[in-house]
This record gives sequence, structure tokens and C-alpha cells, in this order.
Amino acid sequence: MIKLGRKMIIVFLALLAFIACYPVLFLAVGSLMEKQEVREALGGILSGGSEFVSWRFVPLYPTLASWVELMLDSPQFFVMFWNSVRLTAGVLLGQLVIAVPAAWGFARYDFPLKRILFMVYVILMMMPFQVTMLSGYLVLSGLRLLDTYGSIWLPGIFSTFPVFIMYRFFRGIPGAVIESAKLDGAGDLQIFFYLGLPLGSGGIVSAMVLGFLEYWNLIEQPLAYLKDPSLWPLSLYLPNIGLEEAGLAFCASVTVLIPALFAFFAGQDYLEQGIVAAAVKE
Amino acid sequence: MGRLEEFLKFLERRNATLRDKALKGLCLFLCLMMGFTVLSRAADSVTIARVRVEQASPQTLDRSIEVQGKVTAEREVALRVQAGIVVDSIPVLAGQQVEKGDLLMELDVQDLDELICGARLEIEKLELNQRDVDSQKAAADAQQKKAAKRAGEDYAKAKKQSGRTVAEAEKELKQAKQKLADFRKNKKKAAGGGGTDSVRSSLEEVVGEKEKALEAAEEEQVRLTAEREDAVKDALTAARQENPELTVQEEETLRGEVEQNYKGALDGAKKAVKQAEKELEEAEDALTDYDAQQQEDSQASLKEQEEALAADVELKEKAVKEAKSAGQDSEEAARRALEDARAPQEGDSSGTITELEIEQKQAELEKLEALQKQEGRICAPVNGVITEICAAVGDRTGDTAAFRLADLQQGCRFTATLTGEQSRYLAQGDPVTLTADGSGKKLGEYTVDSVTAAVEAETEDAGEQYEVTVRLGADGPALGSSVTMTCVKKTQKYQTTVPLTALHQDNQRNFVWVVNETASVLGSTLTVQRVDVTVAEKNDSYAALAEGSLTSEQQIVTYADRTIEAGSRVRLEEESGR
Repeated sequence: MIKLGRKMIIVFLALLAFIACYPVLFLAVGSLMEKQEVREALGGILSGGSEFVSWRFVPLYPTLASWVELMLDSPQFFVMFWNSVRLTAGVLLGQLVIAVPAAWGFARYDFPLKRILFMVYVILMMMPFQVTMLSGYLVLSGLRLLDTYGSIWLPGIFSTFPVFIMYRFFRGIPGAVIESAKLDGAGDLQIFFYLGLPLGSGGIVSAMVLGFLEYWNLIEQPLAYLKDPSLWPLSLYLPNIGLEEAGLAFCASVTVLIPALFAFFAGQDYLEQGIVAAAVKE
Repeated sequence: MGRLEEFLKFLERRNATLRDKALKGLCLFLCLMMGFTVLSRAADSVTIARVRVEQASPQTLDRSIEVQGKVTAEREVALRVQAGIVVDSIPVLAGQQVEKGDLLMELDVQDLDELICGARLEIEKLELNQRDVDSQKAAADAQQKKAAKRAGEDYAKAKKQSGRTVAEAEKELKQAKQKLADFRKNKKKAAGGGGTDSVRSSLEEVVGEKEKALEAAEEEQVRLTAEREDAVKDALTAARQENPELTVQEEETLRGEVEQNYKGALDGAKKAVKQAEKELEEAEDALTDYDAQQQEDSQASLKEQEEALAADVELKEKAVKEAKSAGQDSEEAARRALEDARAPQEGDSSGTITELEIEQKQAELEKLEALQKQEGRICAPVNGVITEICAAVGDRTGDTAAFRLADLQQGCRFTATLTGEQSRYLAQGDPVTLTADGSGKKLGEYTVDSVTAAVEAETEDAGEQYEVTVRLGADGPALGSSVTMTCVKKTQKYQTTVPLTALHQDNQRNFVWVVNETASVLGSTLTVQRVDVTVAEKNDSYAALAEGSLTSEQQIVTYADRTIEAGSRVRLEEESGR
């Protein structure tokens, strides 16, 4: 009985997992279809009609034509890919320099207006981009950073979300360890570098992974702050997808997905560790 | 704490492999993307078109016209010789240059003598013929005059006779009209009444008696009426005397009684009057009827007489008309005969023709005699070059020219054929340069004398053709030589000119490709854009565009190594050479 119930739970979870993974499967299959088949499948929607989409899990005439077109005949794609890499790497590196010390400060030190400042951080973290877009535009315009990578890097580097994530991890470091280090004569910087960073690496990596996923798929900020098309990231590739570009769009989507998968798998254990660490009480 | 560390180490060991693999995979993926980046750039550079560009510039267009032609004589002289003479010898050749007086041809003298004899004989025949024609004409003229005279006399006679006949007829008509008029005058008197008639007298007596009877009856009636009135008056007087208070009613009664007494007599008198009136009326009617009857009888006999006279008048009128008509006919016939006699005779030109033939023969004879004097030698009339010999030794000379000579004294001219397009840009007076074909030596600067439409095109596909003529004068190149004429004309200065290679055409619309710098994902790239233009003029290498078609800053594609379309990315060829 228990086994049957367990199996049903597994089946139900598998179904949910399939539904969650279906869009990825849709992309992968679509990238292997030829243009005619894609047109037949998606024509009801993309040609301005109101008919249903018809889809096959296995293409009738699988082909790599869309992949060849993307990989060999679309230099614009690669320009935007490396733009995405630059933007993401720049933000993540900046967060390592700015957000990590900020989170350590919030976690291990007491100073005036700390609560209020942290509250502000939390409020800012909850605000959607649309709320701060105009003020951010004005500030960036005043700093003459519009239409440059700096217009994406600066707000990202000083984002509050990684601070919040890492704060929780830094707070989890036992105070006795810090005390012991101090008794041994370690300074604040030594404590930070030799104790804080290693022990809080889970949070740092978690913040980096989540940050990567966020900035790898960034759309609104580049659309608002970057006018020069040569600076656009991959998220702005093919903004208007028609029937002729559907195959290309599928291939591009799969390609965009791959680095995110690698980043997740690379940081998955730290994410799990963080969850476990929060669950196990000292 | 120890359990935690152990768990963490376990997780760490388990995930280390996955993490390493993920990192390695990410690095590999990035390297792969780098490789594909290079490959896609390389593929794109292969497909991208390489172009050469120029900017529109202001300049004048040179329109160069170059045609080949020949040098011909300004004036050609045709040398005609009397036709029909045997050619003895021709000591010259076509193309040979001769001086004035040089021997060109010798005619057979014997044949010439025979022709002269024949000509003289013919002239004599014609003269004899002429004499016969003249005498025949004179006789015909005399005959005509005689006939005309006789016709005139007949006409006069006819006229006289017809006049007399008409006069007689008119006289008779007049007499008949007079008779009729007299009769009508007397007719009224005959029909007017007169003479005594016993029947009528008795009827008139009856009428008189009836009138008297009527008068008497009327008098009786009047008397009785007066008498009645008197009786009434007396009765009333008597009654009033008897009864002074007599009422009106009683008076009326008394009146009635008295009138009653006279009623019968009065009725009788009235009847008598009526009877008398009736009888009188009847008597008058009888008299009237009798008169009418008498009038009718007298009118019928007058009418018959009048009709007879009128018919006679009519006959006489008819006779007059007939006489006139007959007279006119005879006059007309005589007049026509006279006109016919006077009409000019048919033209006879045989005499004139004969005279002309005599003159012609004499002219021929003179020419033959002139040739005889020259002993049949034909010499060149001018200095020139023999362009054509139309006679042959042993054959008789023809009606056309025996020789054609180009008169060198008048100079030469250059002629060539132009196409319709070329003729648009060449006009009389334009300066041209002549160059000898073969040697390439410049012969000089001349001006166009004329540009005229050619009579016939050389081939069907040649289209419109024109002939250009340039006078060369006496010192020009040799006759018959092949020469090239070159004329360079400059148009007005156009502000916008582009090389012809930059101009394209689509559906009869001219356009050029203009390179624009556009911002794209790949950075600042060059793309081409189609700009429609209007061509004002063009030559072999440049085209002048209408004002405002292009700006001087725009870069125009003059060459592309592959087909380009609107929006295509291009590279400047100078960049590819680096």
C-alpha cells in the first residue's frame, strides 16, 4: 500500500516534471525541423490566424539546416552572445567585489542605522525594474553611461539581491569561530578572507549562480539603456519572430539555454548545501 | 557539528564530479562558440559583396563621335557621247587621273561616216513629208471657208421665211378676236328685252284688275269698320240719354251687342280682302314666270354663237404658235449648220512633229559631224580622276554617260554614315578632326558641311541613318581614301554626374545604389539603398542626373562583385585589399 502510494506520488511528480520540461523539449524538437514543417505547425498562430498549433515530438523531416544557418550564417548571433557573456561576467565580478563585503558587513558588524539600511536593501530588492527604470535612466544619463556596458554593470554590481543571499550565509557562520580567530590575533580582513569567504562560499556561489541566471536572461535593462544594436545581449536576438525565423529562434533558444544549464550544474551543490545548512540547526 | 561536516563532505565528494564536468562543459561550450564565431564571420565575409564607390561630381560630358567614311569628289562630271557609235578603243582605266584634253576614247570613224549619211537621208525624208502635210492643210482650209459661206446664206433665208409666216397667222388671229368682241357687244342688246308681246299684255291687265279688286275690298272693309264704330257711338249716346248713370259694364255690353251686328259683314270684308290679295299674288306670279321663260330662250342661241367665235379665236392662236415654232426650228437648224461650218478643224500636229524631228536629226547630224571633225576622239573635259567607265570597246555607245570623272579642281569632300543617335549630337558647323585610316595621320581640322537623312538604310536593322558631309577643298586627302572623322562635343556642365557603371535600370526606371552606414548588431556596417534617379544626358562613360537626384556626399556603387539588393551589406573594395 505504501509502495503503491509512493509510486503514485512519483508518477505525479514525473508528470509535473514533464510539464515543466516540455518547453525545453519543444525548443529542441523545433530546432531540428525544416522550415516547411515549422510553417505548417506554427502557421495558425504566427501568420496572424487564430488556429491551434499542431506539434510533433519527432520531426517528420529532421534537419540541421537551422543550426547551420545559426552557427555559420548569423554573425549577429555571436556578437550578441559575447555581449551577454561580457554583461554577465562584468556584473558577477562586480558583485564579488562589492556585494560580498557588503553582505559580510551586514552580517558580522553592528553600526548605526544598520536595521534601517538593511530594510532599505530589502525594499529595493522587492521593487520591480519598472519602478526604478526612470530614475535609473536619469542617473545613468547624468553619468553619461547610457548606451554603454556601464549602464548594465553599475546597477547590477550594486544590486541588493546577492547581498541578501550572502547575508543569510554569513550569518550562519558560528560566532565562536570568529571569536576564536580574534583571540588568535586575526584582524578583520584576515577573518574575512580566511574564514568568512571559505565558510560563506556556498552563499557566494549561490548568489553568483542566481545572478548568472538573472543577468544571462536580462531583457528590460538592455532594451531601455542600450540603443546601439552592437551592444545588445542575446536576450534581444530576434525580437520579432515570424514564420521565416521560427527555426532560427528555436536554435538560438537552445543555445542560450546551454550556458545556464552548465552554470546551474556547476553551482547546484552549493545551492543544496545552502538549503541543508539552513535546515540543520547548530 | 561533526555530522554536518560529514554530510557536507559527502555532498562535496558526490558533486565534485558533476561540478567539474559542468565547468569543463561550460569552458568547452565557450570555446566552441568562439570557433563558430570565427567561422560565421568567415562565411559572412565570403557572402558579403565587395563594391567600389564614387561620389557624384560636377562635370561636362564629352560626347565623342567617331565614324569612318570615304573621300569623294566635290563635283563629278559625266561625259556623254552620242549614242549608237561603235567604240574603237579606250586607252584609260577607271581610277586613272587625267588632265584636261587627254584622250579617253576613240570612236570608229567608218561607223561615224555611215551614221552621218543615214542622218542626212532621214532629214531629207522628213522635209519631203513636211511639204505634203502643208499642202493638205491648205486644201482643207479652203473647203471649210466655202461651206461656211453657204451655211450663212441658208440661215438668213430661213429667218426671213419664218417671220413672214408668223405675221400672217397673227393677222388672222386679230380678225377673229375682233369678231368675237363685236358679237359680245351686240349680245347684251339682244338679251335686254323690248318689242311687244300680247300674252304678256293680257297678264299685265289681269294683274291690274286684281290690284283694283284688292283696293275695293280694302275700302269696303274700312267703310264697314267706320260704320260699326259710328253705330257703337250712336248706341252709347242713346243709352246714356236714356240712362245717365250707365255703368261701364252696361256700356261694354251695349258695345258688344252693336259689334256683334257688324261682325258678319266685317268678316266677309276681311275674306274678300284676303281673296283679292291671293288673286293678285297669283297674277303677279304668272307674269313673272312668263318673263323668265322668255329670257331663257333668248340666252341659249347667243351662247352658241359666242362659243363658235371663241373657238375660232383659239384656232387662230394655235396657228400663230405653230407658225412661230416652225420658224424657230428652221432658224435653229440653219444656225447649227452655220456653226458646224465655221467650227475649227481637228488639230493636226503632224507638221509640227515633223519639223521637230527635222531639228532633232539636224542636231544629231551636227554632233556626228563634230565628232567626225575630231576624228572620233573623245577627250577629258576637266582635270580629274576617272571614277567610272560605262563604255566597252566594240560596243556601241549608250544613252548614259560614257565616263564619270571626279573634278579635282572643285576639291573633295568626306562623307560618312551616322546612326540616328550620333546624328543628334552633330550639326552643321561643328568642328571635326579627320584622320587617315591605316597610317593614323591627322589630316586636319574641318567643319561639318551638312547632316542629311540617308535615302536608304544599308540594312534593315540599321534604323535611321544620316549622311554627314565635310568639305575638304582642293588640298584634301586623296580621292577614294578611307578617313576617320572624330568630333568631340562637350555638353553643358552638370552638377551631378556618375559613371555609367553605377546606373541600373528596372522597369524603365533608372536607379543607383547608394552606400549608407547603418548601426546594426555587427556594429557600424555599410548597406546599400536604392535611389531612383532621372538621367538628363549620358555618353559612353558617364551619365548626368537631374538636379536633386543625389548629393555630392553620397557614395554611389560603381562596381559590385555580386548581385546586391536593397539592404544588402557590402564592403568597400579598398578595405578588402588590406
